[in-house]
Amino acid sequence: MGKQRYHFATFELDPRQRRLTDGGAAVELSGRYFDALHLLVAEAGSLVTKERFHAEVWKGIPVTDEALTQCIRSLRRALDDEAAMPRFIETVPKYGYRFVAPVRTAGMPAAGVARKAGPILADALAAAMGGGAAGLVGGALYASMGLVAAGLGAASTMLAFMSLCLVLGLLGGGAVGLGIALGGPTPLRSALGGAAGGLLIGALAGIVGNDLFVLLFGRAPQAFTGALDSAAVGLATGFAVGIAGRLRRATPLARLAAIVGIGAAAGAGIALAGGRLLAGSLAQLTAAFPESPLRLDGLRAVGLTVATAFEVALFASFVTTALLARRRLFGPETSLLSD
Amino acid sequence: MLNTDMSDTATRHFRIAGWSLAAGLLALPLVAMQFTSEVNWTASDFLFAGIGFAIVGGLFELAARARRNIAYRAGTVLAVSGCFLIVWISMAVGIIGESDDPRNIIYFAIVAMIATGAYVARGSAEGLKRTMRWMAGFMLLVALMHVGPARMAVPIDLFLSALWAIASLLFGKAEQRDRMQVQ
Repeated sequence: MGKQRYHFATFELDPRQRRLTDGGAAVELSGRYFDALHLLVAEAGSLVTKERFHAEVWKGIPVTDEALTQCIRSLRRALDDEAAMPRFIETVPKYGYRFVAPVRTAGMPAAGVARKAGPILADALAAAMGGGAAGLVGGALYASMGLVAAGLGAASTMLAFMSLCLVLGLLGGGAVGLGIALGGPTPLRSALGGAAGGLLIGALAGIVGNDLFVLLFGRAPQAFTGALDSAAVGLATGFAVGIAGRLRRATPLARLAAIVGIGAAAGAGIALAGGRLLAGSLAQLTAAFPESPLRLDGLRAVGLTVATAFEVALFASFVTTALLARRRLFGPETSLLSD
Repeated sequence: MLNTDMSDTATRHFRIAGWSLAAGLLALPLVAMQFTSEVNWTASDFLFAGIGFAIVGGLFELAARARRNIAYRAGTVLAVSGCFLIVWISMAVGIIGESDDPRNIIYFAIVAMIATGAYVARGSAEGLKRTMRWMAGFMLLVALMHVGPARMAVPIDLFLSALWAIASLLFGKAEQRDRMQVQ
């Protein structure tokens, strides 16, 4: 067994320091159990027989198979793995165990940019699709509940509205997803990454949006979604991704509730601080351009705070779900198209 | 991922989550109606929405019964949700023009084509993969057709094409898994 560091999923195993960490946080493992995990990881992909465990971990001290079973059970608990659906340690009945997750060693030169670019782009793409879906769902909800409607003789207005929701969702999701993927696995780092992505796309959209309006109409609505507003959305979404990643043992409904809660709180905060997302920007737009065929009476009745809270909750839950589903389905280390 | 089967516990949790979500969504307009007269759903609106959720949920249940494989189930979720979105948007606002604009028929035809493909595939991952791959290509054609006359629909077409492509990728993974189990 070598002494180099091993990486798998969000874990790092450092034999020299005899330490296992998950996203930087130490995971407690007793001496023998650490040796057993080290053996499994060093032999990743191949069968490690019970005899080898007895010889190399217990160094020939006679113990029953029950001791080994207990050891594997503890390791699975430490890694949050399930025997019935192993992500890491697979049982080979009667013979032994096999470590099934892809393992990288720190010394490997290939662990550079090229290897990381794939998963990061795949994360961004998944987040963009999630954001786009959130845009379509949100737009359709506004439309079918009658909150946003078109005036008479404006048949294509609602289609333009839906496309706008979709494109904003795609761009926002992609930028925030990219930031989250670059940021890192802990809630703090993923939140900061998401905020950076949101800031960037918000600033870009602000420049393009406002400049286009000035160019075409000679004036722009006072305030669209600003860079700070979308940075706050990115912050909340990144935080939700980090927290949801930690809540591996929670049920899907509990996880969703946590994400929706984070999103709704952030949205309400943004609205109360005077920020604007889709509903707020549309309200501004129709105020600045009374000739606009969009009718927002319903939205005004619901209130911008509720609408904004709903928007962030929707965006955060779709982007988080898409990101985590991508990582779960294709593995955190693989890109979307590779296998 | 090497192992992509969903445990019974996770399946049960997702089942609870899914049906609770459907109930919650159905309750949303009901709650909103208490606060504003702008939201005004009739009994038939709720009935249609309820039938829609029942069909979507039923198809998810069918997929869950067919395979424990996560990729297969996720592929189904994407394909079915995409179809649901199409029907929903078409009914609510009409993707092109008003909801009774004849050009909207193309979107209902797409849903019908996917349904036919899925029926012919009889749940085989390989058949579903091919269906979704064809539909991703066809959706690109539709997008091309819409450039110009209905350009506002193009982003939606492209998004759906990407959605079908990802679904076909997932069914491809499920197919690999099926092969592994045969060997």
